[in-house]
Amino acid sequence: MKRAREELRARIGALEGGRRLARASVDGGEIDRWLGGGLARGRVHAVTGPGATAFVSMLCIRLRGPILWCVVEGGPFSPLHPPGFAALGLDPYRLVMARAANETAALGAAETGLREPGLAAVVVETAGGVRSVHGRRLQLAAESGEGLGFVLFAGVGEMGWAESGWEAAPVPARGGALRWRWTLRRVRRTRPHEWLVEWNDAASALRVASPVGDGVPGSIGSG
Amino acid sequence: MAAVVHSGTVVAAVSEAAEAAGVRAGMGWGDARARCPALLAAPRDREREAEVMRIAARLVERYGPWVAPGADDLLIDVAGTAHLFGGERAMLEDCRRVFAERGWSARAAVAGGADAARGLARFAGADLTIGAPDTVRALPVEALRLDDESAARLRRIGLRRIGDLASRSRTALAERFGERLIQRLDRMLEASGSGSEPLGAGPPRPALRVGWEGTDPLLEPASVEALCATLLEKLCVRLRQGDLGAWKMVLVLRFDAPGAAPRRIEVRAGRGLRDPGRWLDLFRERPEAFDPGSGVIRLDLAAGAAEPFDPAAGSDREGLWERLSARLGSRNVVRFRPAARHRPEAASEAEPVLARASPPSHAGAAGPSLRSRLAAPFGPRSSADRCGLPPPRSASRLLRPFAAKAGEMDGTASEGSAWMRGTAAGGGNPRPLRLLARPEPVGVETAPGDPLEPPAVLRGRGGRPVRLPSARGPERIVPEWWCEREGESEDGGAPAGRDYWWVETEEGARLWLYRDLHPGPARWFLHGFFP
Repeated sequence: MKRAREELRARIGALEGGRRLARASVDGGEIDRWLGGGLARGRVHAVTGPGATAFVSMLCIRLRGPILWCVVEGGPFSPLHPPGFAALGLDPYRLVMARAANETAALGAAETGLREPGLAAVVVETAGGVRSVHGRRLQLAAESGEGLGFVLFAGVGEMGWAESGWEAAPVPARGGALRWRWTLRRVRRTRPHEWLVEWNDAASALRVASPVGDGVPGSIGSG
Repeated sequence: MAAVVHSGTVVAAVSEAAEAAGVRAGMGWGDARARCPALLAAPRDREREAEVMRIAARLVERYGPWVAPGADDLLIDVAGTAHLFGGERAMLEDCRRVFAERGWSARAAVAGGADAARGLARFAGADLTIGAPDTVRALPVEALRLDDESAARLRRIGLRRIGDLASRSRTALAERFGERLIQRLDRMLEASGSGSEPLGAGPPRPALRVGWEGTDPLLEPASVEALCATLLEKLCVRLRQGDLGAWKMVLVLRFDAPGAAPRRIEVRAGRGLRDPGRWLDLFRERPEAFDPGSGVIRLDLAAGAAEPFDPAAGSDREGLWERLSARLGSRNVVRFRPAARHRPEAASEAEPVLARASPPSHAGAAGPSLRSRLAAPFGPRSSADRCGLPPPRSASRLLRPFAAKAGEMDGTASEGSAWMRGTAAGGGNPRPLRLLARPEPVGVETAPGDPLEPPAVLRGRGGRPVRLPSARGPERIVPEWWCEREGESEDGGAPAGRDYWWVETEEGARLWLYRDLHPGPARWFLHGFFP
C-alpha cells in the first residue's frame, strides 16, 4: 500500500514535468516520509505559533551555509538572542540579521536573499503573515535561487500561497526532553497532519515522540 | 598536509605540517612521499604566486618608501622609518601580524645591508631577526647565494659559516673561489647600505577621486545614473592602474537650488572592488542616489579604503551582503559575536557583516635606526629554496575582525566559531532564543515552604494567573565587579544581581524569569522565551 502510494506520487511528479525539488530533512524519519523527503527547497514555507523560531532554527542546524534572518525594527517579535541558538546547537555565527525599517523592506531583503544560491535558509519575520502577492514574489525568488524560505508570523495569517504552512506550539516537557506539537496546516501534494516532536539535546536532533493516534506511528491525529 | 610540486617531481614548497614530518623543499617527490605517506601534492601555480608577491609588495609599503619585490622575497628600505612603529622589533612584529591576518606566514629580518637582511630572513631560523654582526657571522655559507658546488667545496674544507670566511685571507679565498665570493662576503658584512643594489620606486598611487561640474543642471534620474556610471568607469581605471581595490565608495550630489544641502551616499563592499558595474549596482540599491531633486549641478565620487587588489578575495556571497548593506545601511546587516559580559542583554554584540579591521595605529618614539633594510621572504617555513605557497582562497575573510576560519561560516568546520566553544552559550545553562528588549515586570508567587523560593504562579499584564508546574534554577547572574553600577536599579539603589529561573507554564510555554536581587520586596521580570 505504502509502496503503491510512493510509486503513484513519483509518477504524478514525473507527469507534472517539474524538476525534482531538493529537500531539507526535518526529522530523518516519519515527517520526512510524509513530506516526500523533507521540506522542499526552492520554496517558501509559512510558520506560526510560539514555537516558530525553534522550528526554523532546529531545521537549519543540519543545513549548510549562512542563514539570512530578516527582521522589522519594532516588529512583534522580540530580538533574537544568539546564546540561545548556540545552546540549541546552531552556531550563531551562521546567522546574518538584516534589520529593515518596515515589512516591505524586510520582504524585499528576503527576496534578494532567496535568489542567492548557497544560503541555508532565509527567514523573514512578519506581523500577520504576508499577502498572496508578496508570498508569490517570495516563491518566485526561491524558485530561481533554490533557496529555502520561511515566513514567520506572530498571529493567524493566510498561508495559501506557501508550499507548506505550519503551526508550532510548545508542549509541557515536565522536566524531560523539550516537546512541541507541530501542525501541518497545509501542504502541496499531501494532506495536513500533526505530530508531537521531541528534541534530543545530546544529538541536536529531532524525533517524533509517543506513538499514539490513528495508525500512523507517532502521529496524534490527522486533520 | 600539503606540498607544492614543481615540474612534476621536485617539491617546491611545503606546509608546516609536512615540514614537521620531515619533508623539505627541493626534495624529490618520491623521497617526500616515503617520509610522509599522507602527503598531498598540488601543482605549482606560478601566476598565483606572482599575484601574491604583488599584493605582499603593496602591503609592506607602509614600512618604507622603497620596496623591491624578488621572486620570493621583498626588500624594503626602512632607513629612518622603524621609529614610527616603535622600533625595529615592533616593526617586524607588525609586519608578521599583517601577513598572519591574511593567513600567510612570513619571516622578517632587519639588517644593515640588503644581503645580510636576506640571509638572516632565510637562514637565521627565527621568524623575526634583528641583524647584529654576530648573527650575520653565524649564518651558513649558503646565505651568500653561491652555486651549490662552491658551497659544497667550502663546507668540505671546513668553512661552514660566514664568520669562518671572514677570518680567512681574502686573497687566498679569491684565488680558490673567485672574486665574486669576496664581493658577496663584503656586502654581507657591510654595516651600512652603501654598495648594495639601489631599490627602485613602485608606481605612484593615483588620486581616487573624480568629479563633474556642469552649468546646466541634470534633471533626469537616468542622466544622473549615466554620469555616475561614466565617473565610476574612470575611477575604476585609476584603481586598476594602481592595482587597488576599494572597500567603500562615496557619492556626493550638489543641487541647483540655493541652500539645498548636498546629499552624501556611501556604499561599502565586503572586499576590495574595482568593477564599475558592481559599484553602480550597489548605488542602485539606494533610490536616492540618482534622484536629481532640484537639479544636480555637481557630482563627486571618491573611492575609500583602497587596498592592494586581490582577485581571489571574497566569496560569491559577499555580493549579497553588499547589496543588502547598501539598501538597508551597513549597520543593519549584522552578524553576532560573543561578548565577555555576564548580563544576558550584553552577551552578544552585533557587528556589521561588512566591518573591516581598522588600520593599526603606529605610536612609538624610539630613535631613528641606523640599520636600513628589511627583507621578508614569506611563504611556508622551510629551508633554502622556498616559494610562496598559494594562500587559502578565502584569505580575504581573515581580513575581517572576528571573521571565522574558512568553512566556519558555512557550518562545515567541525569545531564551529567562538560561539560553540567555551561558555558563550551559557555554559550548559539554558538560554532563550529570544530576549525581550526590555525585561517586563510580572507578578510571581513563589512556592511556599521551598527555601529556594521557585516561582509557582505567574501573573502577567493580562492578570490571569498561570500555574508554573516546573521551574529550574536559580542561576545567579551578577554584573561584573568592575561595572557594578550597571546593576543599579532604575531608582538608583545598590547594585544587584539577578536570579534566573527556567519555568514552564501549564500550556507548555517556556519562559525565562528573573528576580532582582535587590533588598526589599521581591521584583520579578520576564526576560526571554525558550525554544
